[in-house]
Amino acid sequence: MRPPSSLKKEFLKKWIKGLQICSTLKKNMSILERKKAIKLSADVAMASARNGTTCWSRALIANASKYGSDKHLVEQILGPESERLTAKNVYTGALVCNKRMRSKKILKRSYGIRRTRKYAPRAAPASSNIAKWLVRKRTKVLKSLIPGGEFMNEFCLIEETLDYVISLRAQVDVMRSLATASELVNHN
Amino acid sequence: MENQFFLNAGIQSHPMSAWQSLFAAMEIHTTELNCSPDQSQDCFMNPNWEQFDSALSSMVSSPAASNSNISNESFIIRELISKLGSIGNSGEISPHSQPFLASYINGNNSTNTSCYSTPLNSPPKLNLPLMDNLVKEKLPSLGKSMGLNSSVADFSADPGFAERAAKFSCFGSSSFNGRTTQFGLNTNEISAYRSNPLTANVKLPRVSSSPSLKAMGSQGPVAVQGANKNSPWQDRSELANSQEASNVSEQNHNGDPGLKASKDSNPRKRKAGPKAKPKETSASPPANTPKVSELNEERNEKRCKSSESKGNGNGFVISEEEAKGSNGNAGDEKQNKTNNNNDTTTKPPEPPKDYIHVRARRGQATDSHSLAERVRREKISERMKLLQNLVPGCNKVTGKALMLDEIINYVQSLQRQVEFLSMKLASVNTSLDFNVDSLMSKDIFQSNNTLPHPIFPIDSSASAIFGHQPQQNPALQCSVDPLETGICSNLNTHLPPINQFTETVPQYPTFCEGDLQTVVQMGFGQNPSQEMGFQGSNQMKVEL
Repeated sequence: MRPPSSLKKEFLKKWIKGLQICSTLKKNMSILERKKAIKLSADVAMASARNGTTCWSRALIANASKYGSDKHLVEQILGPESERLTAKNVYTGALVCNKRMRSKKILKRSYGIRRTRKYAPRAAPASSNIAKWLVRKRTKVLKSLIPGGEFMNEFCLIEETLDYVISLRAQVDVMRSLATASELVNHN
Repeated sequence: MENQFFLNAGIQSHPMSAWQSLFAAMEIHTTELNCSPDQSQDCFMNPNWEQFDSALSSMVSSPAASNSNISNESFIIRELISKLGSIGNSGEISPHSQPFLASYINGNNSTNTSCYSTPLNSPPKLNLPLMDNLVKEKLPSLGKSMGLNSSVADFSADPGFAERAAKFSCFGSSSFNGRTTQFGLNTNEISAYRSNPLTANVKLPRVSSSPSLKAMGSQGPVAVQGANKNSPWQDRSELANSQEASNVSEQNHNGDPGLKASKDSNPRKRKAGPKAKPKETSASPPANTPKVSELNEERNEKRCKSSESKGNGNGFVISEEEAKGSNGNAGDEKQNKTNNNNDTTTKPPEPPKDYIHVRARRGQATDSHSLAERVRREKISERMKLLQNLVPGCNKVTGKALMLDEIINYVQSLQRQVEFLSMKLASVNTSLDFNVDSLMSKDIFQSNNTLPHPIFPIDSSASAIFGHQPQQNPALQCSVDPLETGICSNLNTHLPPINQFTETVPQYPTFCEGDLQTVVQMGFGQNPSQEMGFQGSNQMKVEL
């Protein structure tokens, strides 16, 4: 895997490129608009640094390019790869996963119905069931956090979390350094 | 005699190609260095680099094509070593190269193991003082730092490699068994590489790094690690993750069919059980050795952070053979029981089979569903361990739910940090025009030059930002340090701010903008080398 330094470098490159595109697109943005633009270009840069190898990056780019206003920016940042990385692949993959999950859920529900019909009295929740329920709840929350997480099974989710955490950390580091650098410049 | 052959053969395929990749990478670095002689600190490193590079580059072109010629390469290696020795005498790498030279030149059978390990050890050692400086300072080439990994990818995609791999696996029985300690690692890589061209995905470089990474943990480094060891501070979880990812990707390529195939294979495995028994009771070493090596390799592949050394693997092999010998006549269909508690998975010698053979542990259910469940659970638990190391403060927590809790908190805090930082950037800059050149200033550089090693700027425009990076990088690497304490003990001396920075990472548990001043003071104030920069930011936040 790439060393973190090269990840940061790539991220910084793409981010600055995106920011420059943003500034050319629109002048005199409000502070909130600027923040949004910064964050968007940072996210897209980070996701594209993964080059479509991870699920969350593809999902992030797809989400970003869903809405028309940002789509143009995303395409410009990604450049020639935008076609490859955006919508089609992600959605087909997501659809397939989604279908699989849905069919599994239907199956499970049918089992549950069959079981309740047979055994009317419900057993007291065992400790293992409580633990399972807790874990399930947490995984649901995690799925909501990771971009594109709703479509993953548990194993993929953990993998994607790993990768996502690494990228987030790199992103935070770079952003922080840029922020302090620009502050110092502004102070002097 | 046979020892010598193995020694040469071992050196033949791996070190040269690994060194080639090293040379390629270093050549790139030196060219970059020469292009940017801005800083006076460069001069310190440049002479060594040039010497090194000139000596080694003379070696590069010759062995490039002739990987199959053993005698040629042994000669080349000796020449190379002498040149390294000459550089070592003049430069700072002498302490590393001297023992290396001495042990290699002896080349006796008695020192065979050391001979085998030291030549392979030396490139990483030699490179460490030089390379890690470069590597850490964000290697000169943007994206050419990939030179290391991509060269490994080329290496693994070498068409001649499969033949060499086949040669290795066909080597004589007893000597091979005796050499599992050394060559088991090779077979790791070999089977990994063998399977790679078949999966034919982009993840070649990742997989190739993984067995070497594990071998790093368990034994002396094998050749390919020469390329990878140059950045041993790499996030180990990343590498292990990549290895697992590649395993998973291999399996996921089959997706569900893979699992089904494994389920189908299990009844097949049972049938193969009784058949395997007479095979093994006959104790035919050639039949055993690929299996044995694959057992070893499988176990290693499954456990990315296994504490089992190769000695353990050998012990397991022997006990398994004994067990099979004793059970051979039992006529027990439960061949699946093993006398030790290790979980073993065996892959057939032929690469194309992609499903997993799982052996049921003693006293556990043997139907295909539960086996598949167990495999899945173990995969997940391995990933959770990786996550544990990545997320700060997760080491003390046991149990899936609590760990997931921590992970969720951490991800949320990171996301909030991103939001906050983007807000801050928006406020600091009235326009989005981040003129990076203007960010270059003496103040910034001075605040960052507390690190002993020089900074090698790539783009002049980005150098200001990267001036911050060397100190940011340790933060990223620090969380991995607990994993690599053995390896990083050398490197820690180069990075004084590490200890201070590790404390900053866990300081962002719940990060809401109301508390940002206190948190920032906690996080930033601990690093005295960056006090100047961060205190400025503190005041800035107060204004916000």
